[in-house]
Amino acid sequence: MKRRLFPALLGLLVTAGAAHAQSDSGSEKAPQLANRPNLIAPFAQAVAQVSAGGTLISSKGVKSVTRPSTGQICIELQRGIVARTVPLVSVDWSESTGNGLLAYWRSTSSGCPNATRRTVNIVTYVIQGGAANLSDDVGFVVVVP
Amino acid sequence: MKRNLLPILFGFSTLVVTAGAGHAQSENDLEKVPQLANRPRLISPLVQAAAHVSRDAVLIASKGIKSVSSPSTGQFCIELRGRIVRKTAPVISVDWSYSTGNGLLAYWDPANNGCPGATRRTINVVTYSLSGGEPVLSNNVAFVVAVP
Repeated sequence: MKRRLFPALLGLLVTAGAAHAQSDSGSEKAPQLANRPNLIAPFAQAVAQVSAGGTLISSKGVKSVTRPSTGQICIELQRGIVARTVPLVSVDWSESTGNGLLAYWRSTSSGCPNATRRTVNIVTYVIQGGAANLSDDVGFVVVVP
Repeated sequence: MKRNLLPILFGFSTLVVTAGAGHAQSENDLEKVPQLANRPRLISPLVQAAAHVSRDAVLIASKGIKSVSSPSTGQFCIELRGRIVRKTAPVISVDWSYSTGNGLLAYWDPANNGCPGATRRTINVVTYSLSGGEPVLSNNVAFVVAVP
């Protein structure tokens, strides 16, 4: 029984590893996330680097990140951050999959259930067949100035 | 003659009402977009200037901004107030809520090609949306811009 299981498990691990390695556009340089580093950004109140799928890679002034639905990411800022400002978003190609990547700020935060004044709602799309579709393939950075 | 004009006028007024309704329903998050009677001031302590601009060139909120205009489709000209140090690089992001549609793009044109009479304090933002898979100049895109 054990002899049969071992090759099967090994194959599963190799397959999972290969699938993960091919998932990000710049996967060979995507860091491991065991210890999430704090960003040092003296001229921003808050900064977040978020991977495709909504994992917080590194940050400053950010409490949490959630993804309630496809392409909708909700970033909760820590207390003390002045929220009456304009968050700036850029796609992180290395933390994304594929090309044709778009990331927007959603100023009404309508994609975030129970949003507060300290919620930053980001919407992500991928262009497929000439149309933009909501997608979880987009990594991004957001700066709260 | 008057009888002939009546249906035409009725048709025209219907067209105006329809166009108005279309405009009113055009923003992606229309039901949650606030009224703009009192333009709020942005509190962005770490940038010189910031602007939240609707797709039809209305300044939703701002700091250090004198005015916004749209001289032609997809061209926005933002005039900074006097004390802003202009020798910097503005950063732009699309605001999905105030925009229409999805495939939205916003760029900075440092040459100010789209702003007639541009000065050192003019920021030219160019907006596109995807139509049939191709980016075309568009007034469907709301955006934010920050001057660090």
